[in-house]
This record gives sequence, structure tokens and C-alpha cells, in this order.
Amino acid sequence: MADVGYVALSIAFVLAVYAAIISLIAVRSGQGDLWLSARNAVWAAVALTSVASAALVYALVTRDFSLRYVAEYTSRDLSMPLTVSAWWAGQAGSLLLWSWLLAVFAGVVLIQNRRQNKELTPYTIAVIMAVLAFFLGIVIFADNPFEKLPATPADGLGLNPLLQNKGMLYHPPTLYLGYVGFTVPYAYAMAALMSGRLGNEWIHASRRWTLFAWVFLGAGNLLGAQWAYTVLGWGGFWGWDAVENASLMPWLTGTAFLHSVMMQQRRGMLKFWNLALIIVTFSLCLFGTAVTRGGILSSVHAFSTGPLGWALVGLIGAVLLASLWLLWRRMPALRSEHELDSFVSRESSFLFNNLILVGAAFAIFWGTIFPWLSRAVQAGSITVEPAFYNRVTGPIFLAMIVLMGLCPLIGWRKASRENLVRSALIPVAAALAVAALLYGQGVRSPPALLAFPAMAFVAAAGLQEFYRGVRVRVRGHGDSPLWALPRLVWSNKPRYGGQIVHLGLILIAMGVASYFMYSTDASGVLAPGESLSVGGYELTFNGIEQRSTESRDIVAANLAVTRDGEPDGTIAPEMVLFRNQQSVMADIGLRSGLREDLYVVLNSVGEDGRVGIQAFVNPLVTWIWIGGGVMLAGTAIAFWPDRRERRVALHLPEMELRALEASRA
Amino acid sequence: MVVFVALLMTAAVFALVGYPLARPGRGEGELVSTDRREAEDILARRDDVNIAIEELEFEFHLGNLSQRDYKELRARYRQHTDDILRELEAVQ
Repeated sequence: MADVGYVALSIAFVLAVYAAIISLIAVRSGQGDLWLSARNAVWAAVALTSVASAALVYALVTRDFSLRYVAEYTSRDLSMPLTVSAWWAGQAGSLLLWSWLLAVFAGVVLIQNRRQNKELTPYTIAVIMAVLAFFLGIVIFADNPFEKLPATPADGLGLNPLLQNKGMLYHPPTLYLGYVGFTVPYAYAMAALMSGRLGNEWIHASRRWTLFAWVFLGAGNLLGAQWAYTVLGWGGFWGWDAVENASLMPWLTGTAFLHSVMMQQRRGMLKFWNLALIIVTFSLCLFGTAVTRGGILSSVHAFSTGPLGWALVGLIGAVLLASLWLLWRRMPALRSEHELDSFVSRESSFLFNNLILVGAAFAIFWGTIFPWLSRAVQAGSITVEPAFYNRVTGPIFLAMIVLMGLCPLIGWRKASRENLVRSALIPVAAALAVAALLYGQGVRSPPALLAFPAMAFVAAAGLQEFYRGVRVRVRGHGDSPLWALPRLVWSNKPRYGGQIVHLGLILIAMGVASYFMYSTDASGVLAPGESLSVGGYELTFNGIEQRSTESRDIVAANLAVTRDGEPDGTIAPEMVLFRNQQSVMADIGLRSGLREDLYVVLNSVGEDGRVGIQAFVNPLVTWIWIGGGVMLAGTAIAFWPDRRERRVALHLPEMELRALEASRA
Repeated sequence: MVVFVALLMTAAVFALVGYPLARPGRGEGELVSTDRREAEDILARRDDVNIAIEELEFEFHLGNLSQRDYKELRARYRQHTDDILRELEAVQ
């Protein structure tokens, strides 16, 4: 089966090269038969990469330790779900996943464009297939998941203990859906540049792909943060690690792209910006893959080292060179159709949004590569601490939050002062009320007095938007108040789905800001009966419990919890020894609530029976995960087909087409 | 067995990819002609303007636009629609 997988990959590689070249020749020469042949090559590549992926998964679940990849990442005692997840645990398997996803996405692009975008699609497929050929080439020639061992071991080495967590099942594939997904809007952008069709066609065609990639990249970031929070035991969820940064940056520029394309659709503006943004976003996705899989930057997340990182850097260079050359060629055609009517307009707020998000991405990029740059010019490297990122990105994200609240209050083209004042009244009042409340509670920190009122401003502006819309539906359409809200949202899914996403972002911001500003911790060494106090809690050590499973030895510290003097159950952080890997990991004790999390880590167990404990009280962290869910719901609504899109997609009904063609005959 | 499967896969791929080239003519109409492209472009722009007018109406009813701005912008969009209809008639 493994040999079949390798053969399938090799043929798929040839097909990807064939489809990339022949698609271009077909569309340039107008030869429809060549295009049909290229399309069939795409379908064959989908089938063959699926065969190869199935072969690898089969080898994993049947524990075929004759394959190096299976022996390196699984073992007989590994649970079946985690065994399947070993598909993306290592470099070779994750590259196969990248390739399979990209091939499937190419197939979906073909299905979506059966009856539309007939000039863009061949160029789009050519770009996607060229990228697929690169990744398949790496898998076949540099990192083959079907490589065999000279002798078959009795058991495998097993999965890294840090990865033996349910997060392994969903965090990497979610991120990959985002990384790989952004290939498609990038391909549409290149198709627009190559074909000269620089209007809204490529924007319409790629909109849903952009949403898809953006939401999965965002979800992947949040799931990774949650995994880090529950596993790593340092009480936090974001360490500004190189791999974390590498997945945040394309999400930021992707967010800018998602908003900026609305300007092109509405007003024919920011055409150059949109193309540049998607080029940068895709390049950052490749950079993220290089950092995670190629090990070019040191990180707790980087899973391997080797030549892949530099091959990906080479691909990024080629992508940037080719894209920027195409962009330069089409510059005259990318002039805006209109100018800004007013500084205070939705258009200018979108432009500021672009600048803020790209600025944040640039700051993070600089901090991420600086250690590598410093190593290149001097002995030793300079580490960029989280404090740099917090100090630089904090004000940038605050500005973004304020803009998020302002934008819905301003109309397209211009906002009269009276309208703006009237619209901003309630949100500003909400902000001032929160500021007064915080000040009255004794809060004096300027970041807190700025951040939380800003969030209140955005939340109030968003809710006001819903209220006004409901009022229009009740008065103008005669809807009952009960049905007006769902009908409002359904009648304009992109707009109101977006508003729900914004509300989700505010919940996340609230959790993040609370954590960074108000988290407390305490640590100590406790003998049985001794206590540790932290943030209103008292933790009393009652004793140790030990148990063993097939592959692990576990030591748990039982702690009685008292809150504000009242008994409040128990909590039991653990230390786990993974016998196979001879590796020790902390398994935290976590009690999550809407108000705060109690987070306890067992750091050490002494022979005298004393234990080293560190405890954190993290306020409002749960709202980060809830906000993520709200964002997901909002994106799903925005993703749903809208009646406006159906009208655009069917803009050339068959009757009109036949009439046109008859008049030309 | 592996050799047999490899040969089978290769033969299937050759058949699938080569079939359109062996039976020419089936690809006619798969790539868009210039005539269709022009009309499609114009109709797409018409749809974009219609959506923009709808949103303008909605923004006005929401209270984000003053009466004066709303009338001025609507007049501009209507002019834009007239220009597009004239282009469409010229193509037809």
C-alpha cells in the first residue's frame, strides 16, 4: 500500500506540472480541448493525492513500522485518534496534507466555475497547480513519508508527549485549512493580473475562499492558544513565539484584505492595495509553513529542521518576484475609479484599517525575524521579549478597536457632522459610563481606562446598528419585532455576519486585556496541611496520589480550594511521566468560569512529601474562547449565499446570452 | 502487485488526460469569447451599481446619511446606471 502511495504521488506531481503549463497554453491560445485535458489532469491529481493520503493513514492505523514516518511518530500504545493525527505530526506527513488539501481545493474551484469565470479559471488553476507541483516535489524528492526502514522495529518511538493532547486532533488541520485556503484567492489575483481582468470579477470569485481561509486561520490561532493555555503550564495562552507570530501575521493582512475588497466592489478604489494585500498574505502563509515546518527560526513549536525551510523561502522569493512584476505591468489599469470624497467617510476608515493591520503585521514580522538577522551579523542572537510585542501591538490593536466602532457610524462617501454626532452619541455615552465605573472602582491604569471604554464603544455601536436595522424592518417592512432581527440578518448576511464577527472580536479583546492587566499568580512549596493564597483563593495541600496507566506514571497533588473563606471543592494538578519517551510533563489543574479561571501547576514533588505549586487567577479568559465561537458563527452567516451574489453570478442569463450571440451572427 | 497497480493508474491517467486531445472539438465554448466577455463585464457592473443603490437606501433609512447626501449620492448612482445601460445597448 505504501509503494502504491508513493507511485500515486509521483504521477500526481507530473500531472500538476502538466496542468499548470497546459492551462496557461490553453487560455492564451483559446484551445478549449487543451483546457479540458488540463482540467482532467486536475481531477486525476485530486484522486491520486487522495490515494497517497489514504495509503499513509492506512499505514498509520495498521501500525506499519516498516515505514520510517510511522515508526517515528506513533507507537502501539498510542490511541487511535492520536495515531491518525500523526499524519500531520511530522514534516513529510504535513506536506502531504498540504498537497492533498490544495488538490481538493483546485477541484472545488473547477466545480464552482463550471458556468462562470471562464477566462479567469484556467489562469487560477495554473497558479494552484504550480504551487501543488512545488509541494509534491518536496514530498517526493526531499521528504518522502513512504520511506522504508532497513529493518522493521517491534514498536515505534511514539508521539511527542506535548502533542498527546486532543488539541492535536484539530489545531494543526484547522491552521492548514487557513494556510492552504489562501492559495486560492492569491491564484485568482494572479489570474486577474495575467488576464487583465482587473475589475470585480476576481473579487467576487475569491470572496468566499477568503472568508474560508481567514476563519480557519483565526480559529487555528485560537485553538492553538487554548491548547498552549491548557498544556504548557505557564499560565498564559500567547507567548509571541515565532510560530505563533507566523500564523497571526497572515490573519492580520488577510483581515485587511477582507475589508479592503469592499472598497473595490463599492467604489472601484484600492485596487492596487487589494492585489498587494493578497500577495503579502499568501507569502506570509508560506512563511508560516517555513517557520513551523522548516525550522528556520527557533521556536518551541518548530517541529523539524532541514532544507525545507530554505526551499520555502525560495518559493516565497519566486512568488514575490513574479507577483510584483505582474503588478508593476498592470499599474496603469489599477488606478482608482474615484477619489476620496471626504476624510470622514467609510472609505477613509477602510484605508486606515489597512494601514493599522499592515502596520501591526510589519511590527510582528520585524520582531520575529530580528533574532535571525542578529545571528547573521554577530555572534549570538538578540532575543525579542514578549514585552516588545505587547508594547508595540497594544496601541495598534486599540486603534483598530476604535475604528471597528467608528466605521458603522459613518456612511459611504461622506459623513455629515450632524449625522456622525447623532450616531456616535450612545456609543460614546457607553464608553464614558464604563470609564466612570472603572474609575469609581479604583482603576487608575491608563491602558485599562482606554481599552475597556473603547470596547464598550464598539459593542454599543454594533448593537445600535442591529437596533436601527430592526427598526427599519419593523417600520418599513411591517415585520413583527420578534422576526425583525433574524430577517434583518438574513437579508444582508455579509453586513450583519460581519457585525457579529466584530462583537466576537470584542469579547476576545476583553478577555485578552483582562488577562494581561489583571492576572495574578503566586507560588510556593507546601507540606501537607499548608496553604497558598492567590487572588481571593486559598489552596490547602492535602496530599499526593499516584497511579499508573499502560504508558504513564501520574502523580497528582490534591488541593482543597477555599474562595473568600468559603469551601469551594478541590483541584488536582498532575505531573505525568511518559515512560516510552522518558519525558515529564505537567498536567494543569484548571477550573474555568465566566468570571475567572483558577489555574494550578504542580512544578515539583519532593522526597519529603512537599510539593512546589504555582497558581494563577486569570480573569475573563473564558470569554476569549466564547468570542471565538461568536466569530465563527458570524463568519458562517457572512459565508452563506446571499441573494445579491446569486444575482451577480447569474448576471448573464441564457436568454440574454443567446440574444446577444444571435445579433452578432 | 505494486507494478500492476502503478501501470493501471498510469493507464487511467493517460486515458483521462489524453481523451480530450484524441477527440478534438469537445472543448469548443469552454473558454469565453470576446463578445460574451464585453457584455458580461457590463452586466456585472450594472449589478454592482444596483447593489450599491440598495445599500445607499438602507444606509439612509438607518440614519447614517443626511437627506442632502442621500439625494446627491442617489443621483450619481442613477447617472452611473444610465451610462451602463447606454453601453449595453451599444454592445447589443
